[in-house]
Amino acid sequence: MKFSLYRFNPDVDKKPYMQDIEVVLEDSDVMLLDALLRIKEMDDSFSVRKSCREGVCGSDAMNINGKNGLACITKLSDLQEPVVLRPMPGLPVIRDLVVDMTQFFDNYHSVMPYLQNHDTPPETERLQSPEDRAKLDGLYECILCGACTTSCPSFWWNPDKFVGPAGLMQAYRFIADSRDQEQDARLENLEDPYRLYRCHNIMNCTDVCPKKLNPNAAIAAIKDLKIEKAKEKHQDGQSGDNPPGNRGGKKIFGIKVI
Amino acid sequence: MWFELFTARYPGMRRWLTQRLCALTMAIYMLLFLLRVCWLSPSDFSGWQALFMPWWWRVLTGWFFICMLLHAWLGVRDVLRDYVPHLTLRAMLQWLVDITVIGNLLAAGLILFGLNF
Repeated sequence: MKFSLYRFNPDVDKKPYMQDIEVVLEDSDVMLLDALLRIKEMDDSFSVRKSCREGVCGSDAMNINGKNGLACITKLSDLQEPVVLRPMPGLPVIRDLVVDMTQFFDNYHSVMPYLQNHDTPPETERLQSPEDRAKLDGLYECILCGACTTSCPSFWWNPDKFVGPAGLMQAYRFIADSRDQEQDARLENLEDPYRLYRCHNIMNCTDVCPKKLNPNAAIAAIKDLKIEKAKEKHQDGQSGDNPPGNRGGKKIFGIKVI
Repeated sequence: MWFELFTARYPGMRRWLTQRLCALTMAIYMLLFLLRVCWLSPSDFSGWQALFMPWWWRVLTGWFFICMLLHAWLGVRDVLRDYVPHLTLRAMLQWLVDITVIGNLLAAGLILFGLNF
């Protein structure tokens, strides 16, 4: 099978180049990762990242024939020859198909991807109704491979400002979590012209997601929720209720009256 | 107040929402325009003139142009911010866009309200 590989070793090469290579495959070689390991046997200077080899860890995300995907769950029989393999676009290349994902994880960490609940922890777990739990379906399954974020032009142009589809989907995963108590702060955290609103719904993220998730829908849900929150505030104001954060009394001449 | 979404406190939301509302307004106008064209079936100059004769229709059309140009201005502004990192060059291009948008708006206003109906 014929391959065209992106090669770059910063210690040796001045600039990247494409290497054409033909590999003799065995019957047991079914997935692209199997072929890459054959190439590695032929040329041990070839670098590729991999771990679980079954689409769970997300380590072997790369650009396969122009579209991001995971090598371990991409069937060789589905690929057109020569198979052109490049590192994921938009991130610095460390070597060959291995990219530096620091920026990706910085963006991910910026959305505080962990449950924030200030109540005293219960003896067992924090419970949810089945309906509330169902809201997390299609969100928690993300394996953070980076295929979606690195196929997004908005991330290419503003990697340090736009959170990217993966980060935003994880943001919504906690915004939608009934156990989390920092929904308002999370929404506020995404309020600037870049972090959330650089998404223009071109849906590259949804197209490439190897787990068949829909980051675009999560991003749209965040925007909808922001509008819903503003409506709720408006209704609270009309009904004469105290606004959130001012429960327990009205303010008269700046003094809280209970 | 939901109107708060259009204030400086929501810099991302107000641009996004403005662009969507403009698009919605344009969609409604175009639907009305098609209905009106079907209803009046203008076939010559006087027919088209009659279509734009009522003042309320000219006001609606003017509002359509404002929405379209605002929608375009916000879109091009985003594109320039993404693709042109050089600040001086971006400012110059933005200035050109601003002039073009204002020129288009004036031209639309002149055509709609300056003609001798």
